[in-house]
Amino acid sequence: MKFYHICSALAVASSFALTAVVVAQTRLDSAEITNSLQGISQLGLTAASMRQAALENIRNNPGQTAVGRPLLFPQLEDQAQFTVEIDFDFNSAAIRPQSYRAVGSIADALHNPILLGYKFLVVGHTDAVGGREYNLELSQRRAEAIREALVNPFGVDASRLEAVGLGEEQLRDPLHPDAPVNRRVQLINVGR
Amino acid sequence: MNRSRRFFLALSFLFAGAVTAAAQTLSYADAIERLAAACRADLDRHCKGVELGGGRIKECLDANQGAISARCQQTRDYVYDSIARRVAAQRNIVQIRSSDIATYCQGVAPGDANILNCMMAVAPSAIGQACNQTLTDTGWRTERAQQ
Repeated sequence: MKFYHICSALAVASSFALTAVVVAQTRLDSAEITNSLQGISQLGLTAASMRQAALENIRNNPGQTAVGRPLLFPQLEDQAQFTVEIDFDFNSAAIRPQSYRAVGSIADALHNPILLGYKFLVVGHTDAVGGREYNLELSQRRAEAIREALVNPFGVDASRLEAVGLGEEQLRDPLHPDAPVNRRVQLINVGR
Repeated sequence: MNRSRRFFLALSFLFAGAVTAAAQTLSYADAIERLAAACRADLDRHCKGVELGGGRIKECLDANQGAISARCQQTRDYVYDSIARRVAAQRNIVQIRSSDIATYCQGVAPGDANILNCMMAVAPSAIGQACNQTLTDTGWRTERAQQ
């Protein structure tokens, strides 16, 4: 009933005229994210099952080369989603300051009234430089770091977000597995 | 301290408070970009490898209070205050009293932001200053106007 208190507090009106300090207007880039996230995915996968499948894929196919590696979840690419590149410190889950804005934009979108009440997967991917299991673990930590930043400082309800790392098991450009384009974060609306 | 000076001080605090309350909050993107810009050198020097999430960057800047630049300190205070106000406003405003909906948004189907959009379209003069400020702090009016 907080709205009641806020919105019935007419008597609190200030007695002198205000010169509002209008700070920089909200820039538009979160609108694009909001629009791409309005489609609800029909993925039918849980975060836990995706993690498990990625680990099994590595253990069951140890000799598989990165070049031409089949997508672990082809259906993932067909879902309504927003894909963004976030820079991290080398071998670390610390988001670099130049990518703070991108995380803030995602937070703006997730707070948009049109997306309130929906839940999202934060899916992290690496390129194929380094060991597969190491990359899997690193991408999981990085996806979790993004989720954690969305929750605090940006106030997104923690129950709306699940983090999944797929390492190098879902390359965007399987013919060039070391290419930077493979390093990305996908946001997917999984419904209410 | 003499009386007139005390009165002046009280007045300036009051005014500063009012201006702060009337200012719009920054979008999360703009807010955190400002921090990254103003604190670039300090983050690099004192908070390398520290994660943004879990409030850890703020903790790191706070812990190095004496060492970080004045510009970074001011921006940190401003930015985290703006973020906190927007988070609080967005949390508070979604709990709309049913009689407010009945008064202003009769016949609007709930879900997918319909009620909030309706409330935001109500004339500011009809809903009172505190409510109005909370709506402003959510930032949704600005976003709506830009779409």
